[in-house]
Amino acid sequence: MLGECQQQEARFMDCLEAYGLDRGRKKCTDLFEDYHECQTKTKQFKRFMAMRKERDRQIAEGKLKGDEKYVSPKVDSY
Amino acid sequence: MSEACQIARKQDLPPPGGYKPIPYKRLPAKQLFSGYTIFAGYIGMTVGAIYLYNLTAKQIKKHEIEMRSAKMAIYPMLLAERDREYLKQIRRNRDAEAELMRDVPGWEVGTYYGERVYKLIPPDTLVEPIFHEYYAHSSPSDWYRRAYIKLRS
Repeated sequence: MLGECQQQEARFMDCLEAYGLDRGRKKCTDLFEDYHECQTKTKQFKRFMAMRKERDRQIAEGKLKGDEKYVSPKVDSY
Repeated sequence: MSEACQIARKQDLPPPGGYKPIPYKRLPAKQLFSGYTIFAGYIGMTVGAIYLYNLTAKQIKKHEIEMRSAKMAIYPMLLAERDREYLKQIRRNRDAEAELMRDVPGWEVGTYYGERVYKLIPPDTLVEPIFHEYYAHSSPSDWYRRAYIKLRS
């Protein structure tokens, strides 16, 4: 659990080491974004927010009702 | 003076026969058992207790070993079952997401409005969901129940 982002970090640091800090800032943005995403999980959270908002909107509008409203996982599966 | 002798007044006198003697001698405590008796009683009780304990101790130890062995034996299977259910659920989540966001402009399943979550990995790799994503399509009560279990265990 503590080593989730090791791979992303290693790649980013290798890139920075190769290019130095100034050029590296421009060249390694993709690697940096992957690393940042792994550490903070912002995009995944934003995805969740968008999906949840859409689901609530559809429920309020009446498109989803009854048993189709939610798809719940089993409690001990995560 | 003659009146004082005729009227009988109440006086605070000692009881008839005098007072009983005051006990002043030391009264030591009553000795129920002597010292050696107490030691002998203690050892006797310990021996008796050890005997009674050993009547069922072996059985209990065997029982404990059995339970522990059984738990250790089925533990991998339970983990495997949990992983299976996890994988099934993320597939269901993907299908639910596809159906939910069908009419939303710009949304592709597995991305955030077209922007992939991790840019530099091959597109088919499994990106493990975070807790919120895993429970994104669940009813709030199930979500809170799971979060409560996590918080309190």
